[in-house]
Amino acid sequence: MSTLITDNFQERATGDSVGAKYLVRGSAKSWANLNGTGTIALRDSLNVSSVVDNGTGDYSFNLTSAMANANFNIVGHADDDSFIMGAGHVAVEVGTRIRAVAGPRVLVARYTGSSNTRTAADMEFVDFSTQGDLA
Amino acid sequence: MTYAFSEHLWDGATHLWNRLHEAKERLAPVPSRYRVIFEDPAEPDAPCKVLVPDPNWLACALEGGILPPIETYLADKETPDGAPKLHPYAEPIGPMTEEQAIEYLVMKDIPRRIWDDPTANAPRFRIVPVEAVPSDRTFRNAWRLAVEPQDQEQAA
Repeated sequence: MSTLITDNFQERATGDSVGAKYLVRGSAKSWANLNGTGTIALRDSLNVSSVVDNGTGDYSFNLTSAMANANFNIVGHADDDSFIMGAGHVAVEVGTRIRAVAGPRVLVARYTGSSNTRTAADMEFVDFSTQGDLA
Repeated sequence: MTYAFSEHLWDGATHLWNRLHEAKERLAPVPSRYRVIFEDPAEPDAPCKVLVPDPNWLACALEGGILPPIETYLADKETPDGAPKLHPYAEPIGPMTEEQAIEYLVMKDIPRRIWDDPTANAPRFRIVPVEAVPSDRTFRNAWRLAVEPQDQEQAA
């Protein structure tokens, strides 16, 4: 592997540019796409060593290369067919007590009814990514 | 296509994340034949948990020359957040068998109190073939680790 050392990237045609820090700090450091139903399985991932099925709608993602500190950013998403059909909205929650540098624990819940009753739920698609500094 | 990472002469000067990124480009994912089922005494009311190895990670473990020694992860668990960690720049280890890789994952991704507690009177985890894990999740929050006769004999 060769290393390109630079401070800035510029598009030749437009002159638009972006600093190297945007790429280094802003790109996803890990991501995963999990089938959280049946015998759960990762469809694809980067920088994930394993996923732990803690119970209904409760998954821990373990990173191979850890984050530097617990102040990293997590983006989560989950859906299944019932969500598409409008049976309620889905929330992906990240427990702050388990926002560990070794990986986040993600809780998935479905909210239904006029009182928004919260029920933990397994989803066909459970995705997350992290941005921030690596250890 | 398999790429011989040993030819690439990876060393600890290349960050682990860069090695993983390049490995993902070159190695086909390897779904594991095993799962690890465990119970955490810190969560006595929780159902048993199931660890699923990542296929991309397992490809790296079988290939060798990418992952750091498990000792670096164990040492890093004692290192405060924000302080330099050992595992990103540690010299990579050689290829593992799938069974060795699962043992490595147990130590890396499962709390030590589960796999190394001399005061425990029964095993807290079990490595099983994937077929042994129920695919019907209707009663997922009632799953418990079965106590086998040999466990009771051991406890006695």
